[in-house]
Amino acid sequence: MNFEPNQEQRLLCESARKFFAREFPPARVREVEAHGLQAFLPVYRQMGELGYLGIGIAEEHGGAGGDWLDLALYAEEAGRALVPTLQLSSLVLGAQALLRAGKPDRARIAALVQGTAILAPAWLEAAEAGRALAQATRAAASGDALRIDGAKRFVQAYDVAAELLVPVCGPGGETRFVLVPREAAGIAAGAQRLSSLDVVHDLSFTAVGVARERMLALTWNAWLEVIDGAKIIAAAWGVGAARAALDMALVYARDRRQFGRPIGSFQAVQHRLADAAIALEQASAMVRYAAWLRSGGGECAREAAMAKLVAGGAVRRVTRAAALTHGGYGFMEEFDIQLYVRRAKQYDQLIEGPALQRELIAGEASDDLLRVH
Amino acid sequence: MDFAFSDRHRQFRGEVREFARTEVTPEIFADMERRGSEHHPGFHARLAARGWVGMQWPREYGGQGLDNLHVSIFNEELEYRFAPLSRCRTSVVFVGQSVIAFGSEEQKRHFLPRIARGELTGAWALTEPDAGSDAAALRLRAEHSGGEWILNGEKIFTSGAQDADYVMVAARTDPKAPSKYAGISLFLVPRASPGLTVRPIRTTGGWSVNQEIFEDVRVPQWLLLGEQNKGWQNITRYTLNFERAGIARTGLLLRLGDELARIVEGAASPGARQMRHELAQLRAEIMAARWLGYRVAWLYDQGQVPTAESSMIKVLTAELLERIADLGTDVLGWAGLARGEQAPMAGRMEFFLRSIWFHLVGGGTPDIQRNIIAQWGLGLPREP
Ligand SMILES: Cc1cc2nc3c(=O)[nH]c(=O)nc-3n(C[C@H](O)[C@H](O)[C@H](O)COP(=O)(O)OP(=O)(O)OC[C@H]3O[C@@H](n4cnc5c(N)ncnc54)[C@H](O)[C@@H]3O)c2cc1C
Repeated sequence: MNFEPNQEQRLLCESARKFFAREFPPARVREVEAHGLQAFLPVYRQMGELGYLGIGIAEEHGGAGGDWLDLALYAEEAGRALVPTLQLSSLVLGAQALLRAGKPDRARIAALVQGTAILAPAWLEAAEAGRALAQATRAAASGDALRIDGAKRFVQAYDVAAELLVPVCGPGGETRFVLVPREAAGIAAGAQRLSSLDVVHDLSFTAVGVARERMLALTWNAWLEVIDGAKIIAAAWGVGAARAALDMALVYARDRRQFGRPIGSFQAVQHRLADAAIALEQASAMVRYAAWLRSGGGECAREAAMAKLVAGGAVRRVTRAAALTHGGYGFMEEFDIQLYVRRAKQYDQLIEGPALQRELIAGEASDDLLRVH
Repeated sequence: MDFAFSDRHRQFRGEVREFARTEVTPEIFADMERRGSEHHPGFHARLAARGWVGMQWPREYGGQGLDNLHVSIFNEELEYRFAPLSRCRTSVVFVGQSVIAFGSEEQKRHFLPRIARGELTGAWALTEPDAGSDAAALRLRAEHSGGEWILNGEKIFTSGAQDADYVMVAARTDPKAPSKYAGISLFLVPRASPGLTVRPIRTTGGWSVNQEIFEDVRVPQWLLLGEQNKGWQNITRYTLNFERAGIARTGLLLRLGDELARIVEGAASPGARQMRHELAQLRAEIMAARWLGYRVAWLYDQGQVPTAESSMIKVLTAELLERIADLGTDVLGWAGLARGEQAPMAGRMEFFLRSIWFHLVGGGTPDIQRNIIAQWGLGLPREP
């Protein structure tokens, strides 16, 4: 066993950290809040040029290579800088789903990896992710084409996407995935602004015509495995954000003085931050373990759920502690800590939320926590 | 012991409920949203017209001579409808109650009836950039010169100063005093005073608090509030306790507890079902907090100013509000993160979660409340 990142991982993390610190400082986060994802695209394309978007995709498929642990460690750096989770949508879910479906279109994958095109998975049919098959969106054959009717909710990255990845209920009741051009006639989108100021869309599909070959050979179970993998990376993103929030709180607790001494010398402040550190280290260990497990190709559904649940809770607890450390300043727009606080719960919901993770874990056999890989 | 409400209290509850039903309209919220404010002057004027602003004051000062239980009932019924009551707190509780407790007869006759009629609003400026939890470290200076006071310095995070007529300001009048707790005095400063600049500071809740810069602001002698250099004693004995008891929002908790029950019961997802026990736990705690709130009101009606209990109800209600908004947004999934009118409950769960820092930190942080409860209530020694 070895908890040290290897040389390559260290270099990757250092370069990513420097890159994000330079290209995506908090001022850019605020710009994206004000102007939407469009304002993020130049940085996103650079992430493509630098090969970051291709991590976790084999070179033979046009990716940058690297395994799931590399991707998770990199994601912690992205989360630290509050980089929008476009990569999670377009690559970690989107491209991975295409690869999983087999016979991927090289040009399509290449564009996703370069960041010149974005694929937005549109799979939620309720306000909460569930594991039931798609029901509310149906595909029917109509001549040479498919006709799609239905609705999807809380779609991320819709506004910058070239295509949507949409699970639909086929004629025989089976789930199929269809690549739908964003500009296809018959799609109506309603924007919703979240606490983070991210904009997500509720989509309705009315007689949307799509060529038959846009249907993928991807099963629902294969998709769920893609989801399991993406959850680990989402969890890592959250862990990175939590680590940054804790770092900010530590700096503040040392600098800020009240009653003639640093507020970090009060036990109430110390204990809260110590609890935050426990939550963070616990989450970080779990997430890295789950990523490692997946890198080795092992069965990781249970660990992915545990990682996501623990990490989501940690982001919330750590950012809360960090905000409280800032006293009134934690509530003021001009202080950066609020940027983290407003995203905490979104990290917890990303891909799949905490309630579902508890259901998944509860559904596992309960006598085998001793099991190791 | 008798936990029954009197007929007068019941009748009063009915009146307020009827008023709330008809007067708390969607236009009020839309208007506040548009102006980025937590205050609605028109609504405040309607409350004043009913005699409910300062109802707990003696009639000779424009009040109704009602007890604090009436105030609790009033808050509950209106908060249950999310009515804007911020000036009933800043003007009435922070400023008005302080004037009652330690103001001069002249000040009482001048300020209280005007506040009660809704003509005059006040704000309370204690915090400074370097004096937050350690408020007694304040540096804003007031010097006596030619029969008036000259104020120089800075205040921060003052709620409502942007449209207040008067700001109640804590200032240092004797910098040579042996301890920081000595040599502080309070002043009622007209916001329109020359040399006083008020700047907004945006909160993530969408509304603003304020920073005030005082540059040779002249204040006449009669606006010194309470005994000179005894300000800190008055602040800790009265004002902060009024403030902490006054900002506890049990009515809001009752409403959110009910809303949440409806959401949980109506939701089909396994997630929502999981939350039933947590919801039940919260509903029990909310009801218990309500009764602690009544007890605090009752203590005030007995002529006491309970320090530990005021801190208890403040930190308890703030943390309950946080837990309920947390659970509420969880149950709603992604919809719980959506802002604005279109979102479930008009985005209120999201809003309270996003602005929970106001409830937790305003009036003193949870750590400070716990320090007070431990030291003043339980008699434990101070942290070294
Ligand atoms: C929305 C809002 C509205 C407000 N309205 C008003 C208003 O109308 N008028 C007004 O005067 N002020 C107002 N305030 C200011 C508020 O009272 C202060 O923010 C609060 O008292 C904390 O001070 P601070 O922000 O300087 O934090 P700090 O005092 O710097 O606290 C930072 C951290 O250190 C901790 N800490 C500090 N000292 C101790 C200690 N001795 N023991 C343990 N922990 C400690 C705190 O708990 C906190 O976690 C408002 C604040 C907010 C957020």
